[in-house]
Amino acid sequence: MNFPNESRTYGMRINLIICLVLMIGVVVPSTANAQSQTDGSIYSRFGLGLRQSFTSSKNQAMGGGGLALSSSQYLNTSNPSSYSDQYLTRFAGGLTYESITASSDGSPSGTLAASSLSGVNFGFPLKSNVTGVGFSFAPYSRVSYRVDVESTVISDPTTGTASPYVTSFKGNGGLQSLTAGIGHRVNNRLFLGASIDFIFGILEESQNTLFNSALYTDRSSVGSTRMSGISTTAGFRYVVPGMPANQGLVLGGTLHLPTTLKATRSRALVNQLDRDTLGTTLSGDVNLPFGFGLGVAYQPVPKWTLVADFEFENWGAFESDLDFPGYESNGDPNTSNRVRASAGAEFWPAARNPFASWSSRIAYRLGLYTEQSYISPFPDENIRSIGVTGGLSIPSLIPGTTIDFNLDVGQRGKSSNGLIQDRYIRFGLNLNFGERWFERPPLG
Amino acid sequence: MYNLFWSKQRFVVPLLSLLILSACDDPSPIGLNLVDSQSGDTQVTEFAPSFAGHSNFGDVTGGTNITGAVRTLFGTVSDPVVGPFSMTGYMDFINSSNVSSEFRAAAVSFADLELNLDYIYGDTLNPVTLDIYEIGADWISESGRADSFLDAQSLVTSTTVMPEKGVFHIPLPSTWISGKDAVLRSTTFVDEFHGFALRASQGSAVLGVHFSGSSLRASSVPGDTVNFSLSKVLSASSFVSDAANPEYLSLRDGAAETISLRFPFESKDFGEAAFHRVIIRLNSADVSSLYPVGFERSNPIAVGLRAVAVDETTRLNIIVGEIAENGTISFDSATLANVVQSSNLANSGLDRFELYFPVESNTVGIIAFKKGLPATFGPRAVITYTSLN
Repeated sequence: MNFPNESRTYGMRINLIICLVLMIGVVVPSTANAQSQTDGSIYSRFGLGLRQSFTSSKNQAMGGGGLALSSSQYLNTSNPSSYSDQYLTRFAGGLTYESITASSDGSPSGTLAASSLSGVNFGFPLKSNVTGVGFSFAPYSRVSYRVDVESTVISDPTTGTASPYVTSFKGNGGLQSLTAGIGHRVNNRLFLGASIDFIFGILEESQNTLFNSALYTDRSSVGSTRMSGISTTAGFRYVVPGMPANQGLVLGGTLHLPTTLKATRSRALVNQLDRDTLGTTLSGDVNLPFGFGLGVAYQPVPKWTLVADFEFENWGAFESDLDFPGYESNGDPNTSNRVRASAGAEFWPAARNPFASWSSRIAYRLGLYTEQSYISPFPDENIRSIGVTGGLSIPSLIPGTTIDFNLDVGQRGKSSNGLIQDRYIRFGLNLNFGERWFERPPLG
Repeated sequence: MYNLFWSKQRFVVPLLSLLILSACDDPSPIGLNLVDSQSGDTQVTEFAPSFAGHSNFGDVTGGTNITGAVRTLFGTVSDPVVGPFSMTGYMDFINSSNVSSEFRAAAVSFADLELNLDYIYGDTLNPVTLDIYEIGADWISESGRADSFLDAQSLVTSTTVMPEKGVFHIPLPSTWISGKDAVLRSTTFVDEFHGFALRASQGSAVLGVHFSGSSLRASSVPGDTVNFSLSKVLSASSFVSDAANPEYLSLRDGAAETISLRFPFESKDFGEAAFHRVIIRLNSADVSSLYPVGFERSNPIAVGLRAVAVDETTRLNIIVGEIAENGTISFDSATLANVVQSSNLANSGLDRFELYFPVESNTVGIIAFKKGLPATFGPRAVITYTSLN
């Protein structure tokens, strides 16, 4: 086995960091400013958008759960109690490319695709494998849709001239979650953690009338809702005692406390760079409900890790002073409790042997999930998703650093009863960088 | 193994990043039933603006040999559509830089006006008697309007000319020449002489003198004539009597009045709306049969539309529309849509629209609109908009 020399390792380390910084630099600003592309699911139009959760690339490939998982190789932001298990400073981030084919009974299908930020995580130990902190920036929800309708209008009754135009309904933006948390190993069995989550973002909905003719002035009406607020999350993990040697069973759980987002909404008429405010700006509270999650992780042998998770969010009690698609403050809301269940497995041939061959240090992951959305276009319909996930974790020459490729194939909704069925495929590229920082080099 | 992987990865990672950052799409109307329109459908409606009569805002009639009006207009006409009106033409001159020393050394013995008559409106069968006055004070021609009259009380001479296009001469009397001898030979001629005003005392035609080929000529030495080129012009208009044809609402080029257009709609008619296109159409009347034989007139070829704010001061020229052979005028521009849009948003303070003749026109031609026509033949606006309510 030939290890490369130290300078080459250092060069690749720099390359990885540059890739990560570029990835964040390109995508984070657009995400934060609600300028992301508008080619996603029409279901993202409803409520606060499609709920997102990216906690680590490992969790993502194992069905999206992982509340009971802990790994020194990944910063698991799904449960702040896992921040305790760190001995490396860790910096991770990823992008997701999503292609959606939407279909409905009696209509030709349409395909949209876009890329977006999966999330960025940063963590380091305060005391190695005892106390650690973690920070993350990830989407909480995402609005991204576009529906184009071609029409004609008799633009000149005198001549009977018909002019074609396209009405483009677009939505973009979403809520982001900026989280800071701490995890602590109470004893060999119990791990506790807590985090503060700053949730903020802009939801934009626009209707653009486009004529593709110099005789007409294209104009758009844009509705923007800005929201921000602070939430808190508490979590635990408990190592079940009495397991046979080389086996492990861990229980994990989180509790997300309810919070109130302050929201303001305005409408504007937009023509190129001109933006005229329409009507008056509305203000109000948007109350996010509490939620909890329970998970279990089991290692029958070090090579195999199995997880199962259940998440619940009490959206049936969602309240807002402002109306959203699917939610009217003075009417019957189309909200229901969000439920998500997932399970996954990881096969890591090298397991805990850092000196195993390169190929045996590749981790293979598989998962599946099902989810009931918190909101629906129609009150008597629930929007369900089901999907399978998979991923490869490619080790790098830098110990503790991996490049992860994830895949998520699934479908959402149905094509009957006026609904849309989305068949989506997501491809995720994640960089996961870990190294010892903040350490004083030994003298001599 | 390591070498192979990392050598490929060096290219694979950037390529994958590019792939991820790119997006292709085939949008469709799928999901339309799940989208509530923020606004209504795009639609077209017709409104019938009404003429709001004349308002006192003079046409631009001032100009220099660089910009603005290209001629000065003077004379009196009894027009069968707009009624009798008269024009007073003002002109000033500039001395040449290469005047000979011989000219400055001897007294001026001769002076006349050499004028290039290039425009006639009215009776061409009878002569026009002109009175030429000297202007008493300096004046500014740039952006001068048809309601700008200058102080010119000192009669210099009178002459009679036939309304025929071409160069004609008006000899200046010896008394005036001797009185202005020093000024004509002075290097400060521009500061000391302020030009002539031309008015008609008899005849029924308005004449136009073009910058080109028009000058004040003077000589002190036989065979050595100095030309003082025409440097600035202005035309002022006044009605002799208010006897316009009651069947028409007319707009005259070079007049001190203009026509206003008002839309009957208010914000409540559209609510909040996005205006994509606004066309205003007018049908001018054929009034040629009202003019007698021998009455020379040329039809205007274009007319402009401008917006007027409620402060009666702010005016925005929007577009100039050509007058078609059948008399139709169509104003269609993004600026017009933007003006209506701003008005709907209550941002602009728009009060009305006005019609005007472009400065380049510089005639006394008229355009007339028949009164009392049904809406389909009168002024109308075709508006393409999307309701935002």
